[in-house]
Amino acid sequence: MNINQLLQHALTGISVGGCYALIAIGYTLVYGILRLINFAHGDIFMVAGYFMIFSFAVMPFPVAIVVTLVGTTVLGILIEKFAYSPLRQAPRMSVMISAIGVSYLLQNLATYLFTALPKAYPAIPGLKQVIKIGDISTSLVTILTPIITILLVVLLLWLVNRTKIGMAMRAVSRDYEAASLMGIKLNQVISFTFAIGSLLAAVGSILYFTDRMTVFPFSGSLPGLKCFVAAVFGGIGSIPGALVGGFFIGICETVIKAIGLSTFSDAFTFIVLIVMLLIRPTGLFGEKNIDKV
Amino acid sequence: MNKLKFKDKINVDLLIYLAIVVVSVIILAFLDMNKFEYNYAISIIEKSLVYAVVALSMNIVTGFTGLFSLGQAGFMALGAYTTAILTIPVASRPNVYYMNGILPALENAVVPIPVALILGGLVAALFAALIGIPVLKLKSDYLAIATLGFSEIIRAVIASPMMDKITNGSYGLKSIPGFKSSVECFAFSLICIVLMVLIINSSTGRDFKAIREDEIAARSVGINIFKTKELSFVVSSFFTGVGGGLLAMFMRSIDSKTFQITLTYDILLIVVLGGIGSITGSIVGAFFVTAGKEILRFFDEPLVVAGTEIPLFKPGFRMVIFSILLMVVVLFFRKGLLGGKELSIKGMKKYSRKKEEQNIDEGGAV
Amino acid sequence: MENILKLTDMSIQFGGLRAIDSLNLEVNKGEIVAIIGPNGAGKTTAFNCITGIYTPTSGNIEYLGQSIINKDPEEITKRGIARTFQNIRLFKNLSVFENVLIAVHLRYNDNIFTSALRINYKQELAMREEVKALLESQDLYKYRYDIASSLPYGIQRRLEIARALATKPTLLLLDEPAAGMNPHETKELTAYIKKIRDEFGLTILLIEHHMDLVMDISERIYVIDFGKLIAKGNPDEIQNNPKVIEAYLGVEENA
Repeated sequence: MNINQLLQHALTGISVGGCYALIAIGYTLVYGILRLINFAHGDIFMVAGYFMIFSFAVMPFPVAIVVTLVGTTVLGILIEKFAYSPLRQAPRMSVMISAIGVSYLLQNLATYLFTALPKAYPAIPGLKQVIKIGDISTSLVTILTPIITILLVVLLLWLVNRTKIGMAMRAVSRDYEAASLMGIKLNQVISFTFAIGSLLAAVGSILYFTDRMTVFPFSGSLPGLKCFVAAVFGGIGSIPGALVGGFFIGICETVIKAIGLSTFSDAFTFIVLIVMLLIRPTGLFGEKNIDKV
Repeated sequence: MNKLKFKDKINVDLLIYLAIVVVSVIILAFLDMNKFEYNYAISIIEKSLVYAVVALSMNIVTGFTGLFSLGQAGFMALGAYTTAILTIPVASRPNVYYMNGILPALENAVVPIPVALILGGLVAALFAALIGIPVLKLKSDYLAIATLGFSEIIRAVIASPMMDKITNGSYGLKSIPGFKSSVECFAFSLICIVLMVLIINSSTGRDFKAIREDEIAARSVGINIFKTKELSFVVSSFFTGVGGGLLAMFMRSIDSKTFQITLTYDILLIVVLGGIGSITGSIVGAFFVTAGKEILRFFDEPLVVAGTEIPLFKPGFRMVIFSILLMVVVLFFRKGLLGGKELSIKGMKKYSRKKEEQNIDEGGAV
Repeated sequence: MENILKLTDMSIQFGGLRAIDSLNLEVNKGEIVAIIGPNGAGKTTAFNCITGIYTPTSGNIEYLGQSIINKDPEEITKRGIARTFQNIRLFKNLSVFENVLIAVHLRYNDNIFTSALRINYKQELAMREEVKALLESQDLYKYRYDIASSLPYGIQRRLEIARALATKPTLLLLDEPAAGMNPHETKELTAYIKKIRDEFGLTILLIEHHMDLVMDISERIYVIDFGKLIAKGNPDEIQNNPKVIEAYLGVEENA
């Protein structure tokens, strides 16, 4: 493998990693607040793909992008309202099952409405444009993805650390009950968290599918799982952790594919999970919790 | 009666269950004799039985130990492939492995079906033990994602070209000997179910339940929670593996796509509908869901009423219905059809008796 | 007097908070010893260290002359220390009988094969006999079929004690056994604790806020405030100790 090929792969890896990071943040935020593995998150990402396909067909692309972002955000909020919020007092396993139920429903609904066959993802003008840097040729979206990701993460960190709602989010993730006793409106904060997570997933979806070019009802499930692993790797609850985890998984996966072991690129992610749980269960940036007796 | 006697166990329920078994065997034998007429019914029953085994095995770990494992498809795949590889008739093997050939060591490796099923279970149990060691020491949240991930790894490995000579890669395996009769299928499933019920109602099963109820309290009465969780996970996976072997026998041909995550979700659906932590719930749920899927098949066919096609009816509709059903149960009937209780005559009697008077009967209070 | 439990300079730190600071404590065979102190003083934390739920940052815990630091809770229970919890931890959805039955498992040899295949069902019967006898002696037998969470609060407390007794402990730790009880119930509990001590040959260490009970029952009392031992002695000494009066008894407690 020569240096150019290497750079080419690195670039692809960073790009995939950026998308993963955007999805991983959604997992990390929700887990941080509700201690819930939101199994439906990957499917929200998939539905965002369909939103784009259908809105793009009937309206100009900037509007279609806005519709996709808004639609996905609303979907995220609605899912929380209908499937998770009634189970606030229920055992955590019930909420997890509900999340799987939503995932199952979205997948089956997508299969029913759009058939199981892959649908072509629209080419957003300009994004697929080929760019040449030296001997490396790549598309604009590949370059753009990590940049957008990092910008959004910076924005999110500002939001979480500097704004009132961000402070409320941190308070809730630290101590759910104490936060609600202090007058924080739990439901608002939770809705907001889901909104942000879904919005980022929608952005990730546009970048990811522009590159992959097709969407099918199960295209969210594996990336979803991988991004959860990315979030665990970085330390669940930590936004920079999700970013680092996303890039790590994305780059490793690309490298593994590049050296001809495609079959194991998916398996690798879960080996990362097991190894991480063995050596550092709190992840790179995670904090240790003590269970109160 | 002052002494608790073991024969108290031989109670009305046991007799009823025996009666159910006898009646089932008679019915199944009748169906077997008229195989051509009842082919469809037989296949639904066999599938339900296999799913009942797997659902109950999932319930051991999820419903009785309180650990959320989502590796069913993966463990089933291990059991199914082990069983298939060891039972496909030697004569058919060149035909099955026509693309890549078969590993010489496996060329003549044939064992009787029950042995193959047990080996399938053991392979699944072995892998469960390995995953359990790192994961079960931590908060059990991660178990769900680790097992789900594992399930996908297994699928990827099975389909990989490196495994061609063992699993036949993406071509899958066929010519797996099926059940000779539905009675045979019933017998295998019944043995699994009885063993699982015995475990659940033993002192080991009580330790599982203690962990589900309260880990700290369980430790305070001397239960080693890591060992017990690991045991539950391994036992559950063993039976899931056997269930996978049974599924292979039912289907006669398998490939890696059989064991997608949706398979796990299908099992979860049964467990949740039947009631998490209910043995009879899992069994009834398996029949309910399997038969329901067949009965609702017409939802997937275009429906024409008075010359106009009703737009709702097209492929995928029944799965949407099942998804919605799952959500409804999770949200509104959190305990499922049976709500952690068991269908039993004794239970019903106990209920009515308790209303009259509290303090009469003797016997195992479990 | 035979020494049962001995804490030597035991400290535990959570982040920046020193929850317990060099605690020295001894319990001798057959004694009833109380730990008192304001809320948040570190009493329950001390229990959690003794029972292995937390590992002390420094210092030593000896039980029957052997260090039990770094031992798992289940191992410590097997060695003979049983406990109850401040906010009752029963196996909520299991019956009273099962709750106690689970606690006798540790004294029987059973593995999944012998238990599932009913190979030594005699052992199972022995366990059941034992539980039956225990429940009868604790006046809980009539509730045996009831689901633990459905019982009245006071019965739940007694069930939790019965469950602890089922492990056949040498040392019993009771974490606020009288919490939520009225004076009459507290009086009954006082008699009950003495009764089980004598009947089962126990040594008891308890945390309690009800001073009547503490003063009535304890042979010796340790007073903790902000993780530090501020006084120890018999009930009379404690009642007249100015430090204690200042830190604790002067304040009306209503836990």
